[in-house]
Amino acid sequence: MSTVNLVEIQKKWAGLWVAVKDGDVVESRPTAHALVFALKDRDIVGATVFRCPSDDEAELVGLG
Amino acid sequence: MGEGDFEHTYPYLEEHRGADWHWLDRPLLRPSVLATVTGPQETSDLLLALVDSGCDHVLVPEWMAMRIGIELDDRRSSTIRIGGSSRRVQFAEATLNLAHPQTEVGESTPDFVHNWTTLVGFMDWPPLAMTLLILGQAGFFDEFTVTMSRHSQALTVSHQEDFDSRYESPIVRNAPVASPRFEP
Repeated sequence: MSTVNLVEIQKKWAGLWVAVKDGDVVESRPTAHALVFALKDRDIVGATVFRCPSDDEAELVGLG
Repeated sequence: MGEGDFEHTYPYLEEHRGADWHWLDRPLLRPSVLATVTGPQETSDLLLALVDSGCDHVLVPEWMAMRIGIELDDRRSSTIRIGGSSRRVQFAEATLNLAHPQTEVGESTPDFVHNWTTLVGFMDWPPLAMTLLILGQAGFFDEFTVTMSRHSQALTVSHQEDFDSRYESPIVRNAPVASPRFEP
């Protein structure tokens, strides 16, 4: 599905929600709500949104 | 979506596994697809969706309703228990758009292979969730035949009737009359 290295992005942006577009993280925020509406405010479309867990977090089962 | 001509395979997505798992020589792989959610006014960003066979619903954050222009009605709500707590879920129809397997994370102009309208639950989202879209039994698994293989590290989405065409014998014999096969 992807040549974007999700693992590396998650390690680098640990603890944050990120928006990735064309291979780059174009926006990051502490919460998904803040991220999504920041993208809207900046008129950034076409990004993929997901969270990068912190290294000390317990692993999620399902939604967590 | 004609029978036999709809089949898309999505590799499981590797996620970063924390230091606490240093003793385990096995990657963290999630059955995932990329998809968007469309409301009356707008479409969401491309979301990394978790394919969750243990969930009966399609779920998104409550604030997504405002983002895509959906009005929620508390008369269509119930409570579920998830993430260790009970959460009120409000349901409304929305359109899901499934991206092509070759769509990359961050691809700005993705291709979509299928879209369908289904009941979506909007709820207060767990703050540490990794995804913003859960694809559960009703709304995803009943739209397709979903085949999952941890051995092959992939899932395939194929035609809804594919399951019946694979297995000739009836799966449930003497099923109680009170639970007929659900026709979505």
